[in-house]
Amino acid sequence: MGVQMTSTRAGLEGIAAALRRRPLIWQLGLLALALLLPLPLGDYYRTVAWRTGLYAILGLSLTVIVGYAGLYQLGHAAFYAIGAYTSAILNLRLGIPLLLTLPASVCVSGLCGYVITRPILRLRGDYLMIVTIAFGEVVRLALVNNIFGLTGGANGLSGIARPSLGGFEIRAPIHHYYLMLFFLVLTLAGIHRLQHSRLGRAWMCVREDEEAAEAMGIDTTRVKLLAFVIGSAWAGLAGGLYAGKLTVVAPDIAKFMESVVLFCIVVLGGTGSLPGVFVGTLGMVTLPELFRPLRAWRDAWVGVAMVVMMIARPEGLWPSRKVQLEIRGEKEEASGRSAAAEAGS
Amino acid sequence: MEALLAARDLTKRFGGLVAVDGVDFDVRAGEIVGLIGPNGAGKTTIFNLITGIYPPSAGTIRFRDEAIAHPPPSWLARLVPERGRGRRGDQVAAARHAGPGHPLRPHQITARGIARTFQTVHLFRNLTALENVMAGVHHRTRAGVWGALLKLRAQRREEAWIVDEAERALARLDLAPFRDELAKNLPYGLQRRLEVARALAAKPALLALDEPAAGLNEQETGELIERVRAIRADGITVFVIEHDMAMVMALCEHIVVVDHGRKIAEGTPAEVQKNADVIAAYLGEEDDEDGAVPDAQNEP
Repeated sequence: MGVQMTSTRAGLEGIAAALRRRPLIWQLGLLALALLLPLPLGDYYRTVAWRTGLYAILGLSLTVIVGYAGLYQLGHAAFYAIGAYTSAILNLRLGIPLLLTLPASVCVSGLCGYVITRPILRLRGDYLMIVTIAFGEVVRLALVNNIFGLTGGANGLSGIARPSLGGFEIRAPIHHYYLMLFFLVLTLAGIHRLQHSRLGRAWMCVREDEEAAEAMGIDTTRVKLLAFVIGSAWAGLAGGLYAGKLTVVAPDIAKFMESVVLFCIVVLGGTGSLPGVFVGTLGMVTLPELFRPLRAWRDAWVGVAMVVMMIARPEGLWPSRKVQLEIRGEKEEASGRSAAAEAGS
Repeated sequence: MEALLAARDLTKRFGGLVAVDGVDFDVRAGEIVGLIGPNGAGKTTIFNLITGIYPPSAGTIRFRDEAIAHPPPSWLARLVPERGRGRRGDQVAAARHAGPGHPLRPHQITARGIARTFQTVHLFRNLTALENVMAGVHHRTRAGVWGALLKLRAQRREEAWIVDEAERALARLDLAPFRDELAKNLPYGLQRRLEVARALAAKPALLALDEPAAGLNEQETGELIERVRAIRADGITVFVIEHDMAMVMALCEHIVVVDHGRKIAEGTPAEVQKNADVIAAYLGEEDDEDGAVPDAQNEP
């Protein structure tokens, strides 16, 4: 790797080390940046910032399922939609203020996550993925078909009240942005704490070697179920925030492409890595929003990006160290084995 | 002495293959017991039955007077979901069911006091030695989602205790210097030792070692014997599968011999060595390839 250490490089590495020792410095710095960001922007870009944050929350909720528990979930948008519709229905039918519907969205999405995954957790990766795709479609079709007469069919539900805090109605994009930022910080803190806890370690062990984890006394079924329920419940929260901003919910938010984009955010950014989710969101959501031509080609962009990344850098753009070690290790083993096979033949 | 672990008529069929056929044995508390036999005799299968990886086709295994392995109930009974989740639930369910309920899963058996190592090293390769051993401590602690999210004081104290316990477990097997090394970067002998440390961190009453000396040289094997004796001195019963005859004869007080799924001998090392069936199983009855007839009296 013979790179020469210039004094600038040494200086930068010194700063990096100092920052690693005192994470609060750069965390507060980022928070300040996030708070100041929308001020100079116009309404359109403030909405883009809001969408970025929303998809970051969704990406974080999915990274718990995919990155920590290692379960391939390609129907995550379904729980997002369930949360959005729950908020919408409670608000329209029962007049509950939007912010108070958020706990219900979390619970309903979490409950659906539990009901769906409890019977299928024993399935191997690919089969689990197929079931999640199927579930995503089932939810979308149920919404389109106006299930229980509640979901308003293909046009969805409209006229949802905006969230209000003690009389102050959150209407302008910048206020929605700050509301979303609050939940984003909450999500980050929660996930960080989970990652560095007994449960987080159990997730890592299950991902590394499920049989050994089970033999060591870790209830692997329960641990995987927890990941799924937590991830699904949190997607429901994001759905509630969405309903509050757009005041309209339609079955489109549960469509397969939505789940694919979320999956790409997690995988391309770096599975199981928190900064990776932001990188993925910037690439998958913000970029197409900022550049009009890209928006028309967004679907193709997703496909091309996936192919290129899987070949060049499968661990993602900003991977967590553990996942990077896993993926690089597998590649080395595979190439080692094939080299040995070639040598032997 | 009441047996710590007792297998009665233990049988396991995989389709048409009978891997374990009506095996009985006892492991008494405080003993070092060996399980030996030619390759394919069913030794690891017996271990898998003890640790709950699959249920037996027939027969039972009792551990501390509780049936931990038995054939699964009929498919109809299996449609009823498991009663109770989590450890408290297990005890409730076990108390309610006089007869066999759902087969116990491996983590439930670990919680009851049996820990094992594997024939091929099953460490968490991309985790450090400390993190590997912390996994062993998992079932002895309680902190859940809310404790983690809210960083309750009880959770923080428990986390500190987990790290302490893990470091103690590492130190006990002289692995403390490798605390922050990734498991996959450790030399093979240390990996094997780390697996034992991880199993010990689970505070078992019975430690099941599957070929712990595989791939170790003579010096390392000697160290292993000493370590197993030290583990037994701490009050842990040890059940060992091994192929290294010298090690088995030196270490074990009681030996169970299986061949083709059946128990063919049981007793002290001296008794087993002289047993004609055992010799026949390992060396064959007829003359071997060189045409020489095995001499029972002169074999080690």
